[in-house]
Amino acid sequence: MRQFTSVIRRDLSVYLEKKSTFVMAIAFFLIISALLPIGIGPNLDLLELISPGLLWIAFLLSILLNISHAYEGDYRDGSLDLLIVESDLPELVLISKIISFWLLIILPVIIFLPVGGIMLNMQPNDLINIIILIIVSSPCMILIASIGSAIAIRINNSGLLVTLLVTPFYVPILIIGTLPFVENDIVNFTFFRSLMLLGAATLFTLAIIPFLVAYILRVNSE
Amino acid sequence: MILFNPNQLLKNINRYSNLVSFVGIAVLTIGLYFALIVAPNDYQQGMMVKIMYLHVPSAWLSLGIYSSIAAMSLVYLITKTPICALISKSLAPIGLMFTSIVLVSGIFWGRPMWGVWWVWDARLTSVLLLFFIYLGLILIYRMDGKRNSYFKIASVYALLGFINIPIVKYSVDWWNTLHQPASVIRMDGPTIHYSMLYPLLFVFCGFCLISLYFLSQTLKFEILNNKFKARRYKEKY
Repeated sequence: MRQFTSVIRRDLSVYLEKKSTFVMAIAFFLIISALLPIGIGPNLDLLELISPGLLWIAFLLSILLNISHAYEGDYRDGSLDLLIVESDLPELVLISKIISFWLLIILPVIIFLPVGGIMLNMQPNDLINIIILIIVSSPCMILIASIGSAIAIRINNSGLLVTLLVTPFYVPILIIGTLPFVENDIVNFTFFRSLMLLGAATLFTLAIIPFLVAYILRVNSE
Repeated sequence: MILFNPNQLLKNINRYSNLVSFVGIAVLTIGLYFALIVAPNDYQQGMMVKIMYLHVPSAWLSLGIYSSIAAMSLVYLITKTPICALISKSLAPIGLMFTSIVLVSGIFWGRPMWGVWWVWDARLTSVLLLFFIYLGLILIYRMDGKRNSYFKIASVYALLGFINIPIVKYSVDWWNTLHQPASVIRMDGPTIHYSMLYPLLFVFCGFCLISLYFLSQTLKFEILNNKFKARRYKEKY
């Protein structure tokens, strides 16, 4: 337990040292949500129809392109090897790294989600629902992204490779997350059903993926 | 096991691969003759039904090849036999080829039949994901680094991607959208007429033999490449 909290504290101090990382994350998210309406054109009804999907994709991209901050710096200076390979419980270390990543990179983006939603002309009701769904499923999304980051850790500028490697595994989450907001022929796909499924996905990935990522990192530093 | 002995495997490849390719081309020619000339046109689709003889066997093969990659990866992770990883490494581009054949032929079949090139359909989307998983797998196999480490990583990734295979298979039953449900591989026997089924099976066998030939050639290259590297390493140190 002491190791757990000490890793979180160490990561937080590393992130806080270079404040540009989370400012960049927020700015990236806002720029994406400003660019998407420009690409679609001045049709507010259409924008309202497709805004849930756009918000999900903007959030997904801001996770995928920032996940390298969680592992790459530590891999470069060699502390990841010490933390993962030498530790008795590397899975616990990974979970604490993910918690600190969530606190300092993803939480600011989640705080700015309403701004993105307003830019995308979203209804307040939908906006609250979608923020709850994103908060519930964000650990799952970070975990899936960390598989790709662990695979490509030895490659410089691995952002595109990570995106290609893990995007197929995001599709179920994206489908479940947007189904309550779009017209669909699956009867009774309500917000709560989506919430339950995404919560199940988070718990399931939390139980399995830390072991996979620890295995991949250990293999990578052999 | 004698199958996993690289020298024995090389000897067998050298002895039988030409035979396999000749038989494969012969079976494929017979199958295509029956498919394109003898088999009747569909009463609704007309000539366009001929795309089926390219589309369906490639779809079966793209799923089958991925399943064998996953099986080989599992065997590799358990036994650490390098030949298993080499087999899955040489299978991945063949699977990618068949998946792209499925996608492209499906696009050209969908345009006259459904009136669209591409729709949001569970089967189409999951096959596209299969394509990207194959691409990711090949990218991992092409990464630099120590051989054993990226073999292990690729095996883990292949096993993760295996989740997609049941989704592709059952997508037409779970989501009832535009793509038709299975009509050949199903519990209560095929619902397709025999005049179309037999050419289909012939083309499928031809594709299988030809991909076996491709596999043998890439595997031969991989084994020889590894032997060469090992010898150079020995000379160096």
